[in-house]
Amino acid sequence: MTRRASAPARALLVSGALVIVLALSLAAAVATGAQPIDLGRAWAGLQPDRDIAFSLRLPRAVLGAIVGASLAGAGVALQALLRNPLADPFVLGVSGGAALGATVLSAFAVVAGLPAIADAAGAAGLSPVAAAAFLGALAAAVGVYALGRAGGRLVPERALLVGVVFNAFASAIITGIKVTVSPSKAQSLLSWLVGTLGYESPGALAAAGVFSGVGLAVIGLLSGRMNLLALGEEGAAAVGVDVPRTRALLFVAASLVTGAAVSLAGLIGFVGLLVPHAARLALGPDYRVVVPASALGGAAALVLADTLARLLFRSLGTEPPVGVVTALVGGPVFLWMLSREGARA
Amino acid sequence: MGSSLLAVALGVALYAAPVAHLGPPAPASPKRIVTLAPSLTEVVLALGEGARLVGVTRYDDDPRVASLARVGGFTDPSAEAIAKLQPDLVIAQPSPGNRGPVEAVARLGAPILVVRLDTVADVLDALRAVGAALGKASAGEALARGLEAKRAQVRARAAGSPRVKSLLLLGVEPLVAAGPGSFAGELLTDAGGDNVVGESAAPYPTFSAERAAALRPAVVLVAPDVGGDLPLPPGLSGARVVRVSSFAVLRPGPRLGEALDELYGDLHPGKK
Repeated sequence: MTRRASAPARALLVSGALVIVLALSLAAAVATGAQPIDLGRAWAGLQPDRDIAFSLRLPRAVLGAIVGASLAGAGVALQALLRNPLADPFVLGVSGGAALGATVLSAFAVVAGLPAIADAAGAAGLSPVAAAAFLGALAAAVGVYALGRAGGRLVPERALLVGVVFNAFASAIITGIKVTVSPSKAQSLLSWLVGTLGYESPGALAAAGVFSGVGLAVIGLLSGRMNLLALGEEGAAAVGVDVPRTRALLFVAASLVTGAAVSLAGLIGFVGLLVPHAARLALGPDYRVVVPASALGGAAALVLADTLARLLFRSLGTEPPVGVVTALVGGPVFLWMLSREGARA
Repeated sequence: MGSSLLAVALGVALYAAPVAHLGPPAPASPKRIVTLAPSLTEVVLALGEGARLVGVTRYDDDPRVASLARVGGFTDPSAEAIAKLQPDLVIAQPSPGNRGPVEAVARLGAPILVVRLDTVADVLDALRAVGAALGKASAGEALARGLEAKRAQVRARAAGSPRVKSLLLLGVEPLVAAGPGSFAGELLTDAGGDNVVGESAAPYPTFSAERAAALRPAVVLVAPDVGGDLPLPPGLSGARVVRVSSFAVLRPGPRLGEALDELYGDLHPGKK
């Protein structure tokens, strides 16, 4: 039997490798797109190549990396909390809660004649709309957790069902709000609901990076205790884990990163589900390795998916929302992983 | 955060003003113009300045711009494609969907003229604003005066006949009509129509087949891009259905005069 390297060493090794993958993904995103550009000219500062590469493609790729890392990080945290590999912010309705919070506040701001609230979302920092997304995510996460308990214990299947039902409920309310606005507004709402990456100002990117970074750091610091949560509540408590406190911190961190991701990019599915799943399949169950691997892998995966989205319909002069690509690729891949797991069991 | 979310956050501040400028000031006489709506292309063409256009949307169908670069659609312009053309003026009609790309292009340093085209008054403002931006203020003024005169003329003609209870449909499933607050609804009234939609709040209200039947329009006008064999709900079968042939009724620009003639003819057959 070969002796495995210690978890911190493996985490470092895996992270190093994935940082290189992420860097290559970002490079691919900057190098390719709807318009043919000359990277040499872009590097030399010649226009319009420089603007297209570094002022349009790069910020969008960075946004994709932040959102991808957030969704995958939230996915790992929720999977550890619910002790179920099917948990992810999208399936559990946490993303839906964030979208609901943001949509309701936006609609309210317009109805109440407070465009300043909606407009403040354009400024860097903690905007009311992003805060509403965070609160919606947190409420959904806590609700799913509370209603997923039976007889004083968490029943993971129950929690998932609550999430599925809540998701349907949240999208019904959002659709209801949608029919009250004009067709062109409804269309942009639709593309936001499918999940789409746009062009953000550097300030907005920095703010999102800070919120996601803090949330992901908390999840990373708790990854050792997430291993112990897998023992079950009694088991984890028996080895000295403060279960309620750990759980609360993880819920808040997962909601924070989901809120940041949703307020920036809408409802992008499958990244939070697939990436942690793949990380666990490839690297084993140790969360100290799986958490950094998922965050970096999620970042690279979404950057690549958005690059694909930008190239896919290039001949038609348009591009599908990135959520379409993650679902198109993610659905079959997930089924394949499921069948592989079934065959192994 | 989230310009995409902002798009959802509906009409706000600058982007909702009738005429607004984003990015740096444009040169006095721009030479590389990109338009982000077919109506705006038609304004530039009507000013006689088509040679200055370098990019238009994929929906632009005027043969004079057939060879120009396409920069995406009205609601989904490509920031990359616009940047590639290095325009010295981008003319945009505000829409929640194009706000993100338009603001990204403005951050890159392209001057942007944003003009609203919701009502006839907006169109008149736009004709003047685009004329001024191209250094052709008097030509823009002449286009606006021409449209005002045409309106007055059609109104005078329509005053000679009884008003026609009518409904102008821009969509069939669901039913979407031109309300009195939209430019199309205003033209319908100018042409002698009595818009059965009534004093609805929405510019383009969506309503049920039942309500449409209860309104009992004598004439149902169907916009040219509504496809199929007019599967109108049964309740509307008593009305005379006219397929509007001119796309001008969908283009809030210099062709509104053409749209007025068409609508007058549709409402008053034999009176052309």
